[in-house]
Amino acid sequence: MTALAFRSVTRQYSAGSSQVHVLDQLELDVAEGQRIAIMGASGSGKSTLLHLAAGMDLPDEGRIEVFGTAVSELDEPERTRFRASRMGLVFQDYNLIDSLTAFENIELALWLTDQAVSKSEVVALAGELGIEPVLDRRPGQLSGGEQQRVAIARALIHKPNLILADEPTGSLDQDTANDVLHVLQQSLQDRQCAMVMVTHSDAAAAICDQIQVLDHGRLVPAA
Amino acid sequence: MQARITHRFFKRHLGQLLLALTGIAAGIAVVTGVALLRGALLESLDAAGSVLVGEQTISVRSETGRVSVRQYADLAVKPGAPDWIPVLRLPVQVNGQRFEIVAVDPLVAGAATSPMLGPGSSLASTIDMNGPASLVIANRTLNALGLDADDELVVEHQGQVVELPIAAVVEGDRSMDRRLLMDITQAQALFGSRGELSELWTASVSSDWLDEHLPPDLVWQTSAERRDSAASLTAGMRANLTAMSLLALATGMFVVYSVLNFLIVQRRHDFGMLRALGLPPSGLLKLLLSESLLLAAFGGLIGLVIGTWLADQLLALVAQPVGELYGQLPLVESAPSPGLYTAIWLLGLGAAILVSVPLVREAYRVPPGRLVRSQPPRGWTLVQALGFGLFPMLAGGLLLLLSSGLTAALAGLFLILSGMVMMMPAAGFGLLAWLGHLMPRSLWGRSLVLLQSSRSRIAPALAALTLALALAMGMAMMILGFRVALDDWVGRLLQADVYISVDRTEQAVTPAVQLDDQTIGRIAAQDGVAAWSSIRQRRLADGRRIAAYDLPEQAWPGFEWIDGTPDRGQFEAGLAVFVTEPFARNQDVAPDGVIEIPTPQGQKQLRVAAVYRDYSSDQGVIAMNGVQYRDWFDDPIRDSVGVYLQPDQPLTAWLDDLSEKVFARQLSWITPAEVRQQSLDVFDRTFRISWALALLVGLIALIALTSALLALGLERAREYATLRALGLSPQGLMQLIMVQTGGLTLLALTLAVPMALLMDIMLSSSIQPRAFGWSVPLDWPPLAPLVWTVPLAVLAGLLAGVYPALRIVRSPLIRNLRAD
Repeated sequence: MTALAFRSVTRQYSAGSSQVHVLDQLELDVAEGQRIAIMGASGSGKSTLLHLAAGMDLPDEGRIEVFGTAVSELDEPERTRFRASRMGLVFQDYNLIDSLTAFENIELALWLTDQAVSKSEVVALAGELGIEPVLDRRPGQLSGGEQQRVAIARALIHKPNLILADEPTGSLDQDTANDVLHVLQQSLQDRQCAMVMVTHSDAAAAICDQIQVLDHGRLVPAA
Repeated sequence: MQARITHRFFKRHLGQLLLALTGIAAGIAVVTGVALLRGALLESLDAAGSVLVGEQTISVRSETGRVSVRQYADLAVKPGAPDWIPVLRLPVQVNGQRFEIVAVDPLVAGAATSPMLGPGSSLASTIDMNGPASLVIANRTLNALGLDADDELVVEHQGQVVELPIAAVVEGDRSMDRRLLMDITQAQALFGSRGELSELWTASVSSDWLDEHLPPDLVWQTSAERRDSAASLTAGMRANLTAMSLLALATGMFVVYSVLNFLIVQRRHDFGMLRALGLPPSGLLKLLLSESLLLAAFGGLIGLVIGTWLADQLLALVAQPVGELYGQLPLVESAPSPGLYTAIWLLGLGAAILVSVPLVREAYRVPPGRLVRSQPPRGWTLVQALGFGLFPMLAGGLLLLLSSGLTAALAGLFLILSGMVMMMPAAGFGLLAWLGHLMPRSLWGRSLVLLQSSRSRIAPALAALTLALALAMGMAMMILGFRVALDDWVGRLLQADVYISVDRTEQAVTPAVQLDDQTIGRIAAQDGVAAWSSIRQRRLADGRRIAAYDLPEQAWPGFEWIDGTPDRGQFEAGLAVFVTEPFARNQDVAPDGVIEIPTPQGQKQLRVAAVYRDYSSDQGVIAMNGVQYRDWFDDPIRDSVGVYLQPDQPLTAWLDDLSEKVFARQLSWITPAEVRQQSLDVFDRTFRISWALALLVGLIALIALTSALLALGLERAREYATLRALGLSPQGLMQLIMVQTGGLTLLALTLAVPMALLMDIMLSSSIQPRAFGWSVPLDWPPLAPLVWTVPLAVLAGLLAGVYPALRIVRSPLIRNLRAD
């Protein structure tokens, strides 16, 4: 089954009196368990593509399907519920909640999907990602790498089928970025979870099965 | 460039600008309103006499309130007698408002009234003494009544209603506010006061002449003395109003802090960028301070305008009770002065600078790179808050315990409240954290835990809301507790079935009757009378008041003894007196102390046997035996007689009998139930202004809460966007924010309850006795204020959260995900 499909998706923005076609009749297919890296110049529309996939933005034209569900045709509450249950999001700046501990940040995803919280499950996943010792700390007390691992744990804990990652190593140094990428790759392999990752980093793109480049609103395979 | 940054920001955010100006204007408006009200109360105090005849006016009055024409004639022919101006002053009601008729002889007082009436006006030229009765009114007073010069005034005096045409409308000065000038002969005829005068005025007599020639029952005072005496009457009320306005200012400062905080949080990114681009810390300081001052300056000006309007509304609220309680007439409108306006405006600027300091320091101290992503300070921990708060609380407690003055007590109250306000946010957030962890996986728990990261931003609003709620509930508890005490006191005091006095309105048409031994004998001889009591009140030359009682067995349970031994035998033998609580406090008299009473028979000394509760006068009264009084003062008259009927005697039938067969319509009577109702009505009118001020403070606190929630929404925009991205629906986010708002309000309520109880105790046991001389028995506080306040506050709190919540929910999700 196709995890994510973009069919002739167009998204345009107003820039003064003119319209900018960020995505132009874009086509994309991500298979179940497949990992795709989207690269491209700044402002090429990579993040827009990710936001459309997550249902946080809507296309002007075309259709977006996630596991057969036309996300772009759902209303706002349905899109939100769908995103919460089927997708996991990883952000460049981690976007952890400052007032919650690492453990609480991870279990947030379970709470938002009305799933029962299994402490052992959270601890097991944290152990897998190497953050078990810091589960009772708040984000401000964690390093950048630890924060991104917590964010990955939050994206995985509710067993989504699709991970959408926006520059997951963009704020990390090279060594830490490599550690995080390794953990992410391992976790996705174990779970047969599809991923679309937006990145500028070749190293990050290298953990994916396929690399596409966004250019003038359309995807082309990397050379 | 800095001016351009400020201008562009406010141009793009008109809503924030409006909120900022509203917050600042609200605080300044309440302070202005109360300050002007205080001025209006002071300025008007008994100003008529001094304006009419000058600052050195001597006023001669009778202790009974009436000077007879015979006494006037006697004084006028004494050797070396000055020119007297006889005056009749009658309290009247016009359009439900308290006014006073000042009736003089236009020929005698004509020249003297010119300053009062205004340029080019004289009483003789405006009043036609030979025509129908008419009156002179000032233009300002006429406007306040909403009448035209052609209208007739419907004037009510002691139940008698007359319509009077307006003879002239004069410019008049402030002493003409709420006063109506009339010809004395016309007034005497119209209101049944033939042969009676209220007082005699003169400007040209020595004190030696007065001491030598005035009969014993006449007393004299200069205008200045009368004004001082009148000012002292309302000192307690004015002190309480000042305290309320300062509390409003304190709440207003929280608003200013919240509003400025909101503006700074909103532009933290811009400030960080400016710092990174090379704006020196001093430049940032200049930018923030100049914005704060600009807002305070404009907001302050708006506040001055609103405050002036507010003062007139408060004046309308307070005019009636001030007249009823103190016999004074406030001005019809406030009298602002440039000096007062400037002082309050500068106070607003000072407050803005004061509250800007911590915010400027926060931005000033953080290096440019970190400023962009800095987290707000966490605020005080509970231990720190306890440490900081305990000091002012202890200082306030000591001040209350060791001082006896009202100002010191109010300062103590402020210090205690300040200490509590310092402790409350830390204690409150501790409570929130505990509650949040009690239900960790529910929306409630999550919402409350999420608030923790913004504690330093919300703390001022929480403190303002707590203070305002505590103030409202504490004031309400004190007022209602006092009302219950007053009700109990009236109920206990009035043991008779009916109280009879002379009907003054009927004296113009029927021969005068006086409540002397003969009249009382006739009343007592009526069928069905079991016993009777009587009271005669007299003001001594030094201003102290005596109440001379004849008390039957049935009347004694009416006293509630506070101190000493009520030795009834000594009282009835004329060897001891009782004094009221305010008297004991004002005159520093205790049981077994001795009071000297000047009488026509010389100075008399009496032992104080006991102190009893009394709310009838905040100056206090000496209660002495009636027989002794009549012997010393040669005054057989009583003001009122209480009649105790036999158990099987119906009151109505007895009164019919009294009215028709014995005294026709010369007597009036009132039942204890009517007295009780009248007392409670006066009480309710007296405290309307307190309710109004408490409501204003509450509204200001809600503005603070709204600002804080808006700041919270901006500061936590990324968190909220993350929650939305992770799967929290817009409705869920709305619920979460409303739970936070409701939670904050409930928290403020929870913290406000102990503060309110403490405030009730302090107001009842420390402030009231010092302001008015009386105490309120400590009892369980009335819970009604909680019953009203809790749902109202929760509703208002939720409403305050709606706009911020809608803004947060509607804010762009994708942009906020990346927001710093």
